[in-house]
Amino acid sequence: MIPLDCYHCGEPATGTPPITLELEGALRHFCCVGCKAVCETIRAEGLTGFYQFRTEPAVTPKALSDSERNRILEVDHPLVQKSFVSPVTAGQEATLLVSGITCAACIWLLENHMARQPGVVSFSVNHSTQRARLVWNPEHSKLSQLLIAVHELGYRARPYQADEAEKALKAEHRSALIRLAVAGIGSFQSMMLAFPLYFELVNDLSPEFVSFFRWFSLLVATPVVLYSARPFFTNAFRDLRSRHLTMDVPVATAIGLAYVASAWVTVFGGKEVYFESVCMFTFFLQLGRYIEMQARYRAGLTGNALAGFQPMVANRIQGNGSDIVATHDLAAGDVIRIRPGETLPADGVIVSGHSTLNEAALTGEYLPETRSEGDPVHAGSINGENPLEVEVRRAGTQTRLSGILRVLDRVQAEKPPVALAADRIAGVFVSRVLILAPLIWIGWWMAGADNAFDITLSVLVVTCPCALSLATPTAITSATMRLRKLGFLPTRGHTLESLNTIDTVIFDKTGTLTRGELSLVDTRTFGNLDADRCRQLAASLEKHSEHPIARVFHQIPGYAARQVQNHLGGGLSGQVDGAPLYIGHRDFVEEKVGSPAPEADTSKGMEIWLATDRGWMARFTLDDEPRPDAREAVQALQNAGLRTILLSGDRSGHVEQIAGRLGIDEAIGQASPEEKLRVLENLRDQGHQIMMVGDGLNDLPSMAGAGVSVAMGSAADLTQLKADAVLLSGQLTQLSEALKASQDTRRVIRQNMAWALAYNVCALPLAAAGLVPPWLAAIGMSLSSLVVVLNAMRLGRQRGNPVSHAPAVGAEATS
Amino acid sequence: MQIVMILVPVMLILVALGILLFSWAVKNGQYDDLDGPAHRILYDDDKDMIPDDAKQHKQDANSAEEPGDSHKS
Repeated sequence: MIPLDCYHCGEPATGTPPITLELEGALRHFCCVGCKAVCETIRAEGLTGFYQFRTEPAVTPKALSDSERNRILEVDHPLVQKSFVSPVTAGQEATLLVSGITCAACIWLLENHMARQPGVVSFSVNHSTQRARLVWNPEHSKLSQLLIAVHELGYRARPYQADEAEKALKAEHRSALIRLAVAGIGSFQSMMLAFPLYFELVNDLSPEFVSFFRWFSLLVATPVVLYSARPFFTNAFRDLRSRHLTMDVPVATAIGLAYVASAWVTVFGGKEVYFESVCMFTFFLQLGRYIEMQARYRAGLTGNALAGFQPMVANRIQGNGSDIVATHDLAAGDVIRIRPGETLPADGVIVSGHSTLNEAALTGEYLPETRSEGDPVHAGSINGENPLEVEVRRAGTQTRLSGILRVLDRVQAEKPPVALAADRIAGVFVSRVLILAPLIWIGWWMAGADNAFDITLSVLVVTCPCALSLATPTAITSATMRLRKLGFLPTRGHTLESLNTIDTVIFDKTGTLTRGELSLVDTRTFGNLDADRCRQLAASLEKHSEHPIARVFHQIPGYAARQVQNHLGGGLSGQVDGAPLYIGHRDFVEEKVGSPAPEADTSKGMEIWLATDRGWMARFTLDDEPRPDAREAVQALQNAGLRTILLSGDRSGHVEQIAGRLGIDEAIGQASPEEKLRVLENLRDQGHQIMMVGDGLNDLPSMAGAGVSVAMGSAADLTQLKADAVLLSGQLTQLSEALKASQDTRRVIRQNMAWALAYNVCALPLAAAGLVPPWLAAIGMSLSSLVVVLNAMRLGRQRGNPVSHAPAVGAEATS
Repeated sequence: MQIVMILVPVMLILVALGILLFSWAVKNGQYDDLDGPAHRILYDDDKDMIPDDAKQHKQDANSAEEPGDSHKS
């Protein structure tokens, strides 16, 4: 049989009998019923254009399980809606976070599909952030129905609420754009007004005209200085109070002095005004900062990251009934019911029921643990198969999860600010100029010159640290662009500079060096069935479970199984073609089959057995495999002279083994988040500069303590938000590329600095001697800035082969 | 030269209006998504707005591509 790919998602379509659908006269094959259902929905709505427009295959849709459906239905509760729904004139408005969008056609499909739902007033997806804005009429449709409508197409949507930080970031982003526009337009206008003054193009320039032009230049420059340049003034003021000279101080001084002096000249008469220099300077600097901010903006948009970890409502049991209360109203002593699939809202002790809990948020352990009556449980864990009743011991800010987040905040607050090279040099330079300028003025005044003030002003303009202050941001912006293409996204201003000093790299294990999910590494058969058929039999049972072990088989097409039962902590049983089938741990299957398991060589990893009541069929070995490029990446780092350490909270016990396989220098296992931080602090006290690569919430405190923290692209939202850089592609080899890029960046910054300083040092004596007319000062300033910018552009050029990676959004692939 | 005395203030008023318009657009969220519109224009979502006779014409051009549509229109 010719291997066929699923028409919808591109996975192999190997089902027997084949799942097909006639679409526009051609027979299409599908890998699963889910894909076919989505395709049918698309056809019924006449949106088949999706298949012609798309540039990436769609995500394989997954049918909603009952617990997921129940959780979606919960959003209709007014207590839940209170936090993210706001009334607008046409109805209710909510922001949704949509996942599964692979290219621009997905957005087109979603928007058209949603527009057809009853009650939807408007639905629009933001291409860059994948946030959707939904306005609907609550009289015609419930929010849960609309969320389910999104799921019908194979995408996932969850309500999303921007937190304060994101709102501030958004407001800042918008106001920066307006500031930039004001400065840009202002600089054009003032330049136009300055032209006749500088070059005396108009021959009969009467004093009235000069005065007229100056007054209007003042009018144009005032909003530029007071509005566009305000961030420089506030930052400079803050820096002066903390006695820490940064780039903002000279910038603010230059803008402020030039503006005040020009205004003085305009009112009381004098030789020159510098309004256009003020405007242009502000515009250039704002432009540099805006581009830098744009790079950070997208990475910072992870918003209400805690939403996924802490549910908003809880089901409190009172007497015989139960009622839904807000999570923050829970108190110690309350008994709450946790349904399967729900996240625990508080720390407590199980009073009845037993289930498996996924505690990945706290421990980083990806396999769920079995918990029963009397066991302590923690907020942030996700309940597995069975309902639980939990007595709350600690709620709100006293939970273990909140504790970890508090440690994170403290570590971040204590972290000393990175002293940027540019700031240090500029600080020295500026303080010298500020001392020199009054001396020059006194000197000329003593010598009896009339134009002492003009000369002093031109000293300030000539030495205006434009090139000096552009040296770093341009180099960093250009290097950031290059790293973005590689899938390494620096999110802080200091990341690239800090990378230079790194001498130790610490990796988390699960999800960082490994994939963070189980995969099938070996199948051994004992009966007369071949391995493929055994896997398909296993898949038919595992389809009915949400356990991480079961997910390994979800991609494999299976048969219809009936009477599937979940035996907690053991496995699954069911019937396929009338024959009973068991899958699970050895003990569980042995008990059902009634004969001991066949002898087989022990293998690394987890063993899952498959059997009928007549005999054993197969053994599957599952393991969390290291990423394919992990070994190469570790070696590249070691070749660069870096020490590598594996630091894991994992109890799976093969921390050492993974470290050995990958050739990592040192391995530390079973570390709690606090212990991880202690290891880091010890290393730091020994004088090491550390880069920490991690992905979980439990890595957060130690990541905050590291010199540079890198989060994997698949990491929790909060981890990505707090990290200094995000490895979007998940390719570890890019780490050494990033280190190389940071060295290049440092070289370019130094060249830029050298140039800017040399220029300033040459120009300063000339200006002090009164030999530089103001227009020459302005041209010199612009030229020196241009050299700096062009030099920085060299960084953006890619050397060697660009590494391909699958981008998250189609736009990134096409742009 | 007296005309400059009038032209310069007029220009400033126009510029001020431009900035007001721009800041309204930014605050209205029109600059939040700079990628989306570039893609959106590529998709045909106006099939129902094309008059029937024009549709027929288009059908001939690429009838091989969408034979299923012919009885609908």
